[in-house]
Amino acid sequence: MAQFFLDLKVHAFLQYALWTAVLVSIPCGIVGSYIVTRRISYIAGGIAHTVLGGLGIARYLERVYHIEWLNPIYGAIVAAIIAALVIGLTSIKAKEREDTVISAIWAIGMAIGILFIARTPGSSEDLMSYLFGSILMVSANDLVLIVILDVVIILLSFLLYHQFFALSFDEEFTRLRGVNVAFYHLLFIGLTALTVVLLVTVVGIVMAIALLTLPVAISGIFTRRLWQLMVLSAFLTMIFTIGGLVLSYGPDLPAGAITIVITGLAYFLALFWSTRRGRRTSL
Amino acid sequence: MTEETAVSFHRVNFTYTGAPVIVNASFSIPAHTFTMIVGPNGGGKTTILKLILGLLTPTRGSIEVLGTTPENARPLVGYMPQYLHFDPHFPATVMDIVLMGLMKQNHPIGPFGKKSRVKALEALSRLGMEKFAHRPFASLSGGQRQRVLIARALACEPELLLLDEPTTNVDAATEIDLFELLREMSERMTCVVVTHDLGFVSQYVKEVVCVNREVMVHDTAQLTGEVVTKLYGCGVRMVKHQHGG
Repeated sequence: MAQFFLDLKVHAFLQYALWTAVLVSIPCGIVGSYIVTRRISYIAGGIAHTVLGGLGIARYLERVYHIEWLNPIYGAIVAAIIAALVIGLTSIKAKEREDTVISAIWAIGMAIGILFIARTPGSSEDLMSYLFGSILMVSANDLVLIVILDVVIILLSFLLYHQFFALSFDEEFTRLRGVNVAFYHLLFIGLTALTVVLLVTVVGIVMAIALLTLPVAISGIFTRRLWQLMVLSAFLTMIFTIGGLVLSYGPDLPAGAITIVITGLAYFLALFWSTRRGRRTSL
Repeated sequence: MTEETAVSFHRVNFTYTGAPVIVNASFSIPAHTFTMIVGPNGGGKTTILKLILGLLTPTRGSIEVLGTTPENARPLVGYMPQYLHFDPHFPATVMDIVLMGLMKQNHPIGPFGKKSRVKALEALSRLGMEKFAHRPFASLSGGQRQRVLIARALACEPELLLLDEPTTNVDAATEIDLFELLREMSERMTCVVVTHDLGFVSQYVKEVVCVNREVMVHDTAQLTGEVVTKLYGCGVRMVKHQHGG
């Protein structure tokens, strides 16, 4: 652990990783709070897995056609937005088919990703980093993109807090007040997609959903208002991701996996504690 | 349609996946009255409310609300649903929920202003709930939650107030208080309450809208056992409550 802080001063990649952990935690706490209170974590799961298709295609074009500027994150953003639109429109137009549609694009996205990765020379290690995260690989360019996504998500969720709050609490009533419920629902799924892209760099596709939901579930025990839930969740996510980064560095273990183990342990401890204390877990 | 009519149905039919729910309903609810919609469970009471709100569209016939279409009338309609379509443990205070009633079309971005908070508090105090403004909604009893949801419906200062079974979770004393309040408010706005509880009806309203696939409007004075039997298809206990002094 001491090694991490000694090396932090010397290695830029560690500083980038630390900044990434801090920056990603904030939208994760905000969007995660809505996802847990609306009980739509399967939507986030579907989007996360579809992202592999975008990552695979972008990496393939970058390597095989030497399109140097094509950062795989761009592919991830495009795939996530497409997945968000398909799932969002399905939940508005044909709610009863939502489940099937999510399963379909979840699997198709991953299949496309695997096919392109198979045809990209020397990219099998990429697959591991997409699936399980690669916070130590974040470059200065990636960090700029992360900052932009952060600003977009935080600003929109701050300005539209009441719209998203009302939509999460009581959709029918919100529609009756004249609010364009379909528009805000789509916009929210879009923000979820961008958050998922950010999380893929930290903990990877497979574990993104845990970081979106578990800190919120812990915070739900201690908070009584939605904005408090968001603040505490963001703070806890920060502790878990930084903890994962620091603890994995010395023994050279995958940071994403350590982050999720810490998060999971904290979740079960909180659950155990709140049951013992007889406190009502709100989430 | 005259100024004095809040809601009017003209030969309205509504069919839900084949089965007719409302058949050939023509009636009107005068403005500034306290009207009850009664009828057996599954008879179509909530359907009538959803038609007034424009959440459902008639299969045939037409509906006018406050002189316009149900959709256009929505900003002037306050509504309290029967079922809570939300997670009862949702992290929110009473204030957060009443403020929802002040949302509008093209709602401005950013936080609610002080004016809105004052309005929300006013709505809460009408129901004697202002002390609870900063309490978590999840910590309230069923009856208290119901009053908060009525305050949410009142917050936008509606011309038409629609309450779906507002007395399900409340004791008799609270029910009387609520009906007294609605009778008083009906001088300023049209109050329409859906209830399956006929017992109290005659005390507070002049007319009841009876819904059991067909819709009939009765004067409470002529609401005899015979009418009720026809409505419910079987005899129903009719209790005449006398509230002295």
